[in-house]
Amino acid sequence: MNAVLALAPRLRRAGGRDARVTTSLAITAFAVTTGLTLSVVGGLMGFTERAEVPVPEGQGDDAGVYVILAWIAVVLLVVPLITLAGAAARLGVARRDARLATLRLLGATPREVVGLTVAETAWQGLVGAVLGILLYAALLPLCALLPFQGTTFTVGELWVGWQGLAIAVVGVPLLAAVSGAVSLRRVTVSPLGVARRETPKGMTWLRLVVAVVGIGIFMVISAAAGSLGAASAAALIGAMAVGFATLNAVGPWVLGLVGKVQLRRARTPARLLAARRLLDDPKAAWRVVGGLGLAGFVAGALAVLPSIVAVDMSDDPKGAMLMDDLVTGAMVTLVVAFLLAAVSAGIAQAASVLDRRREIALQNLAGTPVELHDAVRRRTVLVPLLFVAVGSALTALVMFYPLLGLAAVSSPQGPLMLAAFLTGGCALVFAATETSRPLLRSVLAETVVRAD
Amino acid sequence: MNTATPRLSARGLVKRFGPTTALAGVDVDLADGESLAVMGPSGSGKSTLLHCLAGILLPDSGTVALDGREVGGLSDRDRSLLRRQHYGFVFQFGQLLSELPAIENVALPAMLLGTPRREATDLAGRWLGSLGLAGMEGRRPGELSGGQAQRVAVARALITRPAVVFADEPTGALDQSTGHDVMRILTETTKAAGASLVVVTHDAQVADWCDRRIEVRDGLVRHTEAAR
Repeated sequence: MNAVLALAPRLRRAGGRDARVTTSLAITAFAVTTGLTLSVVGGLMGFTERAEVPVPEGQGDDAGVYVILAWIAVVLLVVPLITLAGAAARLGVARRDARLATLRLLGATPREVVGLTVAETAWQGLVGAVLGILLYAALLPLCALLPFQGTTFTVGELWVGWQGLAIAVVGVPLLAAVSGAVSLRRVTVSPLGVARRETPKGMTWLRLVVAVVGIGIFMVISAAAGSLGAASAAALIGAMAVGFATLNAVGPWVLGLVGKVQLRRARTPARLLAARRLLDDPKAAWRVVGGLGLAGFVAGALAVLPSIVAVDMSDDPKGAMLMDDLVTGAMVTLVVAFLLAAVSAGIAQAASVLDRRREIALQNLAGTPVELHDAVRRRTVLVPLLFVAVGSALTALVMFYPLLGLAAVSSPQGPLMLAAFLTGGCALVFAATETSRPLLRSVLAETVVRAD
Repeated sequence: MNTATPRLSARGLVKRFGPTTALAGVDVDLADGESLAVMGPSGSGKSTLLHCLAGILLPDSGTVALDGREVGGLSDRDRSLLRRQHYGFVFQFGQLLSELPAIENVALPAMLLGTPRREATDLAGRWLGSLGLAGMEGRRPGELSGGQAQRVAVARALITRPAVVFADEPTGALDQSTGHDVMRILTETTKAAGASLVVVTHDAQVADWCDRRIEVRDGLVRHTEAAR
C-alpha cells in the first residue's frame, strides 16, 4: 500500500477529541441520510407494488395517483437528503485541510492527499450506511403503522430488499468520497492554499437569473400540464426538481444580500460579526438554514391541502380516502423534511464551531465576553432562518399558482397550517443549533490554544 | 529606588497541572510603562506565568495585583471584563477574526466597551495609519502578510488604551527581519500609549527590545537583568 495512504487509520485516531466529535457528527449525518432515504424509497416501492398488484376492492384505480404522489414526496426530500450528506462530507474541512496541507508541504502528492480524504470520508460513509440500515430497520415497523389506501402497509411492502441495502452500503461511501474529494480542491492546488482566508468573491446575479428561469419553466410546464396528457406527471415532477434545485442555487445569493443589508445597519459587535459572517460565506449559512428553506418550500406547496380536502366528498368514498391519504402523506413528508433540516443545521453549526475553535478561544483569552459568541451564533442562524423559511414558502405559493391557483390562501386553514409548520420548523432548527452550545463552552474552556 | 506601586505585581505564584509544577513560587513586578521579556525554554512555565499575570489562569497560591488591587478573587466574568478593559493581547497568530477586514478587527475591542461603530472605526483607522497600514483597512487577515497582520494585532491590543499589553511569542511566526520590525513597533507604540508590556519569548534578540528580562526555568525566576 502507498506509504501516505497507509497513514489514513493513524491520522483518524490521532485527531483527539475534536476529531472524534467531527467523525461522530459525520457518521450521524450519513446514518440519518441513509435511514431516511431507505424509508422514503421503501414507501415509494410499497406504493408501486400496490399499483402493480391491485387489491380486489378495486383500489388499483387510484393506485397510479399514489405512485405519482410518492414520487413527488421523493423529489421533495431528495435535495434535503443530498444537502445533509454533503454537509457531512464537508464536516471539519478546515481541520482536515490544515492537516493535509502540512502533508502537501512535506511532499505528499495531490493524488495522495485526495486519496487520504477519500479513504477517510468513505470510511465514515460506510459506518454511517451500516448504522443507517439499522435506523431504517428500526423505522420500518413505525412506517408500517401509517394507513394508506384504507389499510396499513406490511413491513414486507416497505422492504427495499437486499439489493437496496447493498446499494446503500456501496453508494453512500462512494457519494461521501466524491463529496469529500470535491471539498478538498483547494489543498490539491497549493499546499498553502488553505491557510489564508481572503475577501470572498461575490456571487453573481446570474444565480437570480437561473432561479427565475427555473421557476418560470416550472410554472409554464405546470400551466400546460393538462395538454401534456400522460407525460404531464413526469414533466411536472421533473420541473419541480428543477424549481427545487434553483431554490438551492439562489438561496446563498439571497443570503449574501441579507448580509449586506445587515452589515450597513449593524451597530453592535454581535450584529457586525453576524453580518460579516453571513457575507463572508453565504453558502455556509445556507447549509445551516437551507434545509429549512427547502422544507418551507414543501410546506408552501402543501398549503393548498386544506382547501382541497374541504371539498364535500360524502358521495365519493374513494375520493375522500385519497384526500385523507394526501394529508397523511403531506404530513409525513413535512415532518421528515423538517427533521432533516434540523439535523443538517445542528451538524453544520457544530462544524462551524470546530472550524473556528482557535479564533474563538483566542478571543475569549483576550476578554471577549462569552455572550458575544452566543449572540453571534444565534444571529447568524436566526435572521437567515426566518428570512429563508418565509421566502421559500412564498416562492412555493408563486410557483404552484398556475397549477393550484389561489387555493392555498383561499381558506384560512391553508395559511394557518403553513404558519404553524414554519414556526415549528424554525423552533426545531433553532433547538438543533443550540446543541452546539456545550461544544462552544468546551472550546472556550481551553486555555492553551494549539496551533493546529 | 522606585517606591511607587508597581503597575502589575505577582507574589509567590504557584501553579500545578496534575503532577507537573509549572510555577513554583514566582515574584514579578512591572513598573508603569515598563517592558518586560519573559524568557525560557519550552515547558519552563513562561506561558503559564503570562496566563496567571493576565488573569486567564488562577494560580493555586500567590497573588496578582493590578495597580495594587488584587485580581485573584475576581469571578471568571469579572476577570474577563478586566482583560477587556485594562489589558491588550498579541498572540503568535490567529487572533484576528478572519471574516472581518483589518479596520473592524481593530475597532471590535472598542465597540465591545461601548464605543459607537463609526467612532470605533474612525479610531481604528487612525491606529492603522499610525502603524504604517494606511490603505490596508479593508483587507482581510488572509490578505495581509504575517508582519502586517501582527501590526493589526498591535493596533487591536492598544485601541482601548490598556494598562498592560501581553504578547505571547508575538514574532514566533515571522522571519527575523519582520520580527524585529514588529517588536520595534510593539515596544515603541506601547510605551507611547503609556502601557506596560509583558513579552513571552524564547528569542534573546526579541527580548533585547524590552527594558528588562527575566528567565524562567523549572517554574522559578532564575535570572533578572536589564536588557539594554
